[in-house]
Amino acid sequence: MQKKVRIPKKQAINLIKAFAFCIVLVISILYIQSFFGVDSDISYGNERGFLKEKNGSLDAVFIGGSDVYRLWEPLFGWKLYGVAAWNYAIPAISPIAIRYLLKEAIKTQPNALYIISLNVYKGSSIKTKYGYAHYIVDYLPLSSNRLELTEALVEGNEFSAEQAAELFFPIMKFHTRWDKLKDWVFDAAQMDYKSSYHTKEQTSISDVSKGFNISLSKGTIPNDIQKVFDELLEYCSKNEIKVLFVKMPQAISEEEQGRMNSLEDQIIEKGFECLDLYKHFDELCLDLKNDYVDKYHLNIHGEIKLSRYLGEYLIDKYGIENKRGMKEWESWDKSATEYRDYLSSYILPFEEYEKRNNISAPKLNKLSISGQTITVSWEASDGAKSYGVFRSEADSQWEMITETDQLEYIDQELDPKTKYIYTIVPMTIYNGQKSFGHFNAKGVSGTTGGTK
Amino acid sequence: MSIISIEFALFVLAAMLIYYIMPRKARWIVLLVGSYFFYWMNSHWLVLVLFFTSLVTYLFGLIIQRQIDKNQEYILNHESITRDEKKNLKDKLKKKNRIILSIGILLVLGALLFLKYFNFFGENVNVLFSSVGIKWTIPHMNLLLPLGISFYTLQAISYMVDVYRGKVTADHNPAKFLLFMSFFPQIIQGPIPRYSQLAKQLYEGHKFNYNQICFGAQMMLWGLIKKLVIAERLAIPVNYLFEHHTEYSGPILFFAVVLYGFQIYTDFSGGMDLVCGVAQLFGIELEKNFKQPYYATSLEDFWRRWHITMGSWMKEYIFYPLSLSKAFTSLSRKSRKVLGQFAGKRVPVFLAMFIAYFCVGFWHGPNWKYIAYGIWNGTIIMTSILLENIYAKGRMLCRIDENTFTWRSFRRFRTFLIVSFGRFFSRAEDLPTALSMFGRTFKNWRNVSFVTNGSLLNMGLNNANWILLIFLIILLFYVDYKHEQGVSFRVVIARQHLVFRWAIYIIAVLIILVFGYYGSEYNAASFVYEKF
Repeated sequence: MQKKVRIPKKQAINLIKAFAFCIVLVISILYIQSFFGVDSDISYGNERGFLKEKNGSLDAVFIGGSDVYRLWEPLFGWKLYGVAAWNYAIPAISPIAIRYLLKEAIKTQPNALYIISLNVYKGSSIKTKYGYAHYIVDYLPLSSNRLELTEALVEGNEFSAEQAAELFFPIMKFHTRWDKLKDWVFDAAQMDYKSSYHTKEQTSISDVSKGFNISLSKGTIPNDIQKVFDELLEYCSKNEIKVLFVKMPQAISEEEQGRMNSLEDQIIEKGFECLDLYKHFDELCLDLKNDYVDKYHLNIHGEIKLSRYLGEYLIDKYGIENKRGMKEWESWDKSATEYRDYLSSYILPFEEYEKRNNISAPKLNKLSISGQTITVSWEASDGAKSYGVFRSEADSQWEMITETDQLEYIDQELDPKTKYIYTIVPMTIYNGQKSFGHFNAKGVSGTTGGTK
Repeated sequence: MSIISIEFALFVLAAMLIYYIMPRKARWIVLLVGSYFFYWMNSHWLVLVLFFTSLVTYLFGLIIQRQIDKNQEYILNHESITRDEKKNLKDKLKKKNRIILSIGILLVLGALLFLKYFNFFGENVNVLFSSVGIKWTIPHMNLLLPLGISFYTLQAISYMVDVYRGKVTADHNPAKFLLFMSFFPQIIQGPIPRYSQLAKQLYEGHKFNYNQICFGAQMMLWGLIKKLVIAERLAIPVNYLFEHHTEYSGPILFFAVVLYGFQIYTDFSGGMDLVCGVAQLFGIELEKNFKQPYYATSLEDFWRRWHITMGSWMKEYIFYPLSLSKAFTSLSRKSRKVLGQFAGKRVPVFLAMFIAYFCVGFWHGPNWKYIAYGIWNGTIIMTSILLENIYAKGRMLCRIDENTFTWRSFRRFRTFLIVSFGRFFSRAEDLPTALSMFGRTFKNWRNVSFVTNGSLLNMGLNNANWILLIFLIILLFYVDYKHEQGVSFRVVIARQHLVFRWAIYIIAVLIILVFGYYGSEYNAASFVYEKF
């Protein structure tokens, strides 16, 4: 008698089908997830934009937080020196993340010079707020490195299970932004501007002169920060990565500077290089009253000065080729022009190209207006040989209307009922070359009389 | 542990794995342990109330059954017993069992009444006392309400009554009975199961059935879409409009209550789909609780399609026992003498119906608005029964064919309106607010510009969300329409090519993932009916 044959084969087929379905489902979820992350065009632009750059095409990669992308502007570096240097920098970055970002960047830019901001390690702990962890993780490409970084952040910050799940699967937290996808996924200007910072904040001015000092003291490094820093140095050493550490000139406390100074000693001891911009502060010609947005960040005027200095440093020290006009870097030329246009109404014409000095900004007096004539007057600045009078109308480009050695200028035959803004830039001659001092970018404004 | 949480999903996965690994005879133990673990995670020490109710129900079922068995044994052993003696014995048994049953019901119902309604009674008694000058007050007590108590109490009562009626034999296995009372998918918000329908399924271990598990998972997906994508999204404008109701009248208030109708439907039926889907993963079929309620052609029909297990429970354990009782039969006779045949016949039916719907309302919560809700539904149904003949004559005069699409559509629309107005009572904060909103709905109907003047965008949802909602509600009604025609979408999809099927399932998962209201960016989504 024939035995009834069971069909385990059917079970096996069902199991295979179920397994295959799960794989396809997971892949679909991971693909969709790549669109969802924290609301930060900086994180998105800097991390995703980095992947769009051709492998091996970058001269340098800056790694850090806002102490990087609000000090170094890649498109100024490009415009002035043809240096392609990307800000692989994330807001409020944790020291834990630096090594992992470095590891990620090296995959596509193995030969670049890696410029790491030492300011990331100035704090008293590696701990970061949960929300900031998303800035770092959400837009990294899916890889074992990203998983390890996420794990390290969860462990280092003792995030809860729900927080950890959301870090591994950001779609769980940010799927709520589905109706804004068009605005920030497909229109990320941060990417178009090659990780150059672009926001109205760049025009703010804050006087940080009282809180700024240069300290040579040495501080104690907290254990958790020392650990991650040691791991970073070991990683760089083991993988023979070309690294330059930079101390960015923030108006931070003596304690924080002390920690950075101690770390600098360790860097030099291990045979790495460190550029201390505090020591070169005078050469930067940064104006503490007019070039900072707050104690940690420069405004656009400060950014141009710092980018100019750093760009020159990179060219001189590392022999980077000027690639402006080359076909392979067309996109950089295009972006630099667009970025310049974007900032045109904020930047004075000499800022990017002319020599700078440390003559203080003249104190501007209130404008005297009579009909369609405006009289601009100001107080003398020590060291100034002459003064450039710059004028702009609201949102239009600054224009130098005259150079004078007087402390007053009468601007006549202006348009009626029009608002004009003036600022005065002190000038002197340095090594036979005209150099421009500090100025108040907000200027002083007034509206003419008369009838239109 | 909410049933729409990752913890619950992991719990179900683990429970399934252990269930199918265990020998079939022992699989019910997995369900029992899982159910009590689930209840503990949600209610901690209040699990003792569930345990107490289950124990009392079990014991009283046994006691009643023992009386029945003793009686049957006596009759079997005494063949010479006469018919009259048999009848006397049966009557005695019935009387005795009725007392036992009453005590049992009192005990389990007492727990529910005390924990859920004590403060309500207290407040109302205090109002009454103060109006007559009595200074003594009943103190307010901080009582914790065990999860699902309103559901499992009805379940317990139905079991005891079914044993009393001889419909089922009492369960002799206390552990298995504990499982019947605590089965985790349905304990929080139903459906209210019958022992005859559920027990055997729970106790017999089910074979692993791939298709059944797939179907269960698909049902869960649909439930999650209804709950997380539609219901939670609708909650935003509904909550806004009901919180700011004093600023509105006319069409906006009506719009609010219509939205609420969709919200409660998708919330509750979505929960049911989830619950039934989870049960199906273990090879267990729970009773359907919804049957396309917005396709009902009358309010009576609506209550046969909405929260079906509660409606049938009320019918079987309140309405029929009352309307067929001696007292009501006697009332019917007396009413016919006084009021005539037509009215007299209906008085006991209407009284039973009134009590049943009163109980429906009261069951929903300790608030006069819920009672009003029940009375509204009962009154409309009674009125339609009373006016049945007049309606029939009217249809004849107007030559209306009842079987046409237009007439059915009109009836559905009319039922929808009646149901919607009734929802003021269940959704408003309290009865005075409900009555105020109800009244104001009839004003200012000339101005319907809120649809186009941007007011909709001030209710917490932007354009994209409204468009998504409209699309999904249309999809929901289309699916219900197909179900009304007897077409099962799950079966239709299952017949399609593998690629198409997988695409549908993956899209469903992604819809939940992307559009669902879950996660830390939203408040935790809890079910409306969970609080019962």
